[in-house]
Amino acid sequence: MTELDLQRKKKLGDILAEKGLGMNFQYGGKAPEEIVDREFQDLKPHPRVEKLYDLYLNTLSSVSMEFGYWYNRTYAQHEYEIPVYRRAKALAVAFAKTTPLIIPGELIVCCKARYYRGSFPMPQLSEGFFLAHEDEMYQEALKRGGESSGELSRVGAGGGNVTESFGKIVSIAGKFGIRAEEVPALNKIAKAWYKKSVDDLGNRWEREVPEYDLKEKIMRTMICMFDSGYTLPQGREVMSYYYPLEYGFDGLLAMCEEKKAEVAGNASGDGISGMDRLYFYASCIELIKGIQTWIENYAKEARRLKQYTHDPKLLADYDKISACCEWIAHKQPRTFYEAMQMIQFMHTITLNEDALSGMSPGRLGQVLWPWFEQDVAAGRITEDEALELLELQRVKFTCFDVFASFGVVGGVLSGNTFNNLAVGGLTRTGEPATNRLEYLMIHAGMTMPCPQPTLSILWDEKIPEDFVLKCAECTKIGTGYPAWFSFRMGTEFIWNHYQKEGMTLEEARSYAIGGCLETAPAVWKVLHLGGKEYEVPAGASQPAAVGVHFISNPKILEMVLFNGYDNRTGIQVFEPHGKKLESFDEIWEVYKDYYAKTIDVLCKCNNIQHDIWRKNNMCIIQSLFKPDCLDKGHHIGDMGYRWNGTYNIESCGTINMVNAFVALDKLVFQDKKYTLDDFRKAILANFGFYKADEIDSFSLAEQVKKDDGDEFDAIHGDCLQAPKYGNDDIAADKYLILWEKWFTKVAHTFESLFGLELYTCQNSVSTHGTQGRACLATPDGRLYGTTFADGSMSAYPGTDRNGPYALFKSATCWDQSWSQNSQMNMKIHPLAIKGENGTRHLADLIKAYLRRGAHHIQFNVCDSKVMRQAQANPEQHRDLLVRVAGFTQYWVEIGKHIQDEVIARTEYESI
Amino acid sequence: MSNTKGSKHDDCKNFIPVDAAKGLCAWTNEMIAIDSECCPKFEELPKCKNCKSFVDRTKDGLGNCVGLEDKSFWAYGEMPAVNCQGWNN
Ligand code: SF4
Repeated sequence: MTELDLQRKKKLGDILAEKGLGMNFQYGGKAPEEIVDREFQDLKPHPRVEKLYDLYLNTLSSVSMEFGYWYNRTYAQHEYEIPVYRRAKALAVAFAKTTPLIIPGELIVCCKARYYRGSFPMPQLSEGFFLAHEDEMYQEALKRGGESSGELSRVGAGGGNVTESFGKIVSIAGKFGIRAEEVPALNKIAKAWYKKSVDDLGNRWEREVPEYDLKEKIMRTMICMFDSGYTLPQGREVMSYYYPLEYGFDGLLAMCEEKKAEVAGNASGDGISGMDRLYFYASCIELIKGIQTWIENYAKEARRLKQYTHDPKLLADYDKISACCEWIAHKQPRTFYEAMQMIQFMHTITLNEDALSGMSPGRLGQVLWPWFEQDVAAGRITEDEALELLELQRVKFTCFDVFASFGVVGGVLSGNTFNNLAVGGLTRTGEPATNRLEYLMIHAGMTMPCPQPTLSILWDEKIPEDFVLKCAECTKIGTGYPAWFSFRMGTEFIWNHYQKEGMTLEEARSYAIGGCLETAPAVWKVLHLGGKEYEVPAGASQPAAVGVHFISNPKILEMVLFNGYDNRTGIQVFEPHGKKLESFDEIWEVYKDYYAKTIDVLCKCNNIQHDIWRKNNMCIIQSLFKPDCLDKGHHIGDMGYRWNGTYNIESCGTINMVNAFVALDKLVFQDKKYTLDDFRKAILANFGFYKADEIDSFSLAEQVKKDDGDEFDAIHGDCLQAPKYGNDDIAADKYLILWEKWFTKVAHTFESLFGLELYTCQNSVSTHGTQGRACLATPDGRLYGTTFADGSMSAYPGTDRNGPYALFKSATCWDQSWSQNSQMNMKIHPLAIKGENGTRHLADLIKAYLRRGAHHIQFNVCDSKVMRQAQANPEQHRDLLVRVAGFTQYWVEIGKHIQDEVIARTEYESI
Repeated sequence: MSNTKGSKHDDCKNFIPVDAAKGLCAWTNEMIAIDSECCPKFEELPKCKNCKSFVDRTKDGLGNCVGLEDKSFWAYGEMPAVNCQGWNN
């Protein structure tokens, strides 16, 4: 359809408005005609930070082969070694050989690869997606279900994404640029992993699961979004920075040497894995040496750069960097600056081991407090200097890219890396854990607004009010952070779930957020500095969002209605149930049956993928950093971490499913106004509308009706008018209760590869866009291909008509502590919370929700008109940030289906 | 100072790569395109392609490295060899 054709046709929003049934995208008044800016826009970072950030904004996401080359060469060289040691050798050499990169003006250094915003492929995990398109192996990989998510995923067309090849730059996955000269090396390495990568081996073995065929169909039809074991096998967890911060790398080396001698040849009563400890400690030793060389190479590079300048400031920077790197390559950091630099190294080192997103610094302000406190007291640093370092850290973290497949980067992550920094919470003994450094971290988020690290506040009644207000002020700048979490709900979930592994309430209080919203357990460790002892939190768990990801709830309902058949692809996914579906109860029974079958087969297949990963591609770096691997002598794959029951089931489109249940039950079974066949016919005809893909718009109100589409007006109108979740209406909310009672309990009946129960994780990341595109119209009136409601507790755009408190009551109609998380997004017009009073109102609103037993809430404080403008003229809005599902991202770097959904969210004009 | 013929900026020691298309000249701090013409201050950066142990070169820039412990392994000419102990020119 041409642009003109489209303009002549009627959009759903207009049709309904004419009938007096406006979709009411603004609640509580009307936004002024003119665009209203967000508050605090005059705050600026320090000049050196501003320069580095400007450079970032003009930097392309780039890939180089150096790290991967050395990894692969060394790995090949040690073909007959014990797997863990072989991998440690390969990683150590890759770190030691990779060329360091320092940008003049940086004080905190270290890049993943030899580009400012660099990354590199890890074909040992999955090689198929970046093999040349014409390549036969790639075609074969495409045939596999796990890759199909790429077909419907979109990466934002602007920003630093290399969406198309140009000059000597080749675009990979629509996001990364690689020098054409390096492509032959990429292909060579990728081919070397053909049939050997975790992806390929996992696929070979998962075929042994008797129901594998069902899994394949589930993936192809996008009932499930992506495989877990080879895509992002780590992440969505909290870092432990403790060991190098406490002992220094030399101390760790000595510890590993001692332990190695202790365990060599001794099973110590463990006939299965006791002997493995020797190899683990030997691997840690290799790795530490590689890491030390890498850090020392940065010291060398800083010294080398001195030859190019006479600028005393720059010379002093280089001296500072080299002295710091030389010291922390071996010893415990002495100052706040050295500790910050150590964090940067540790974080980057971790990110270089696997394709991973959501590697969260956690409660970093509490970890770094000892250095900050002592430096400030001794006059070694001013708060302003600390603020500059925190701003620099924000830019460095924003430079992190994760190299993964198109489907994962575009369809799930929207290019985001989710390094979540949490503030607040309570100490082990239940006192407020906030400190002055956390205040500065929030302030740095305001003076240097950028996606990473994203911020979260673990709110508790005991958190000082001025800190809460500072966080509310930060929320008002419109970057979408901090996200607000109830510390009590998080603790309750964590304690309930990990008591089986021996967790105490005091330990539960050390948790933080891994990734967007993944409540991730930790432990307390005692840190010594300057003759004082401190208790600091340290992440101590497996990834808190791996397993079964993401199941499209509305799509399962579609399967129920169409007897297990997917009309989009023509695949008979499930065995036909053959039921007449004569009551809602019968629909619900089949729904649960299909859903449980989906979890079952995905769980088994993903267990196998993860098992291959832990055997061939095990994580050694985090095993070195995280409690209790060094004590136990076991890496993550052998359950070396303290908490191992982190595998879970992620869902998507919950609220569309709830609203669809409401409409079906009411219109078919209670009012008997339509039959199920009427519904089937209307769904297949998309209620008389074009598909979202045909008009390239993905929000409901923008959908365009066909000229001959009137036949379904009545049923569509009734579907849209049926009660909706988010209005404190039990007629709708009771289906949410029904769902949560079942879903959160059924999860526990499935088991991870570690033999531990699964639980539910309810945040959609960006999958509500991609999975929405694969889902036909739904009985709630949503149309084919449009984006689902985000997360799990946000209302479907335009359907929450009774204001925020009604929405909150709906969202808390069930006990949110049953689930690892739940997610609520709200969009507020800047005028609604303007000024000091506005800040207080916002804080009160948040507290009111969290006090009701909610887990999480976050905000887009933005005039929707700005987003529309940015969609039309992306080049003028390079740095516009929005909150998507659980993360903040540049508007220009997110896909259109998500942009449309964010624009469509109900805008609150007053609260 | 070396011969700049056929070289690009990321072949030069004085170049600080920012992304796959551009970088900074360490002398001037100016942003330059990798593929733009090099200047007389060009100094060759150690890369496999200028190492004597890089043999059997193919036209797509690949070849064999015979300079390290494993005796022979494929290599690619564009790889920086700043930290390669075997680099030999
Ligand atoms: S010795 Fe080093 S620099 Fe020379 S070809 Fe081999 S890897 Fe490249």
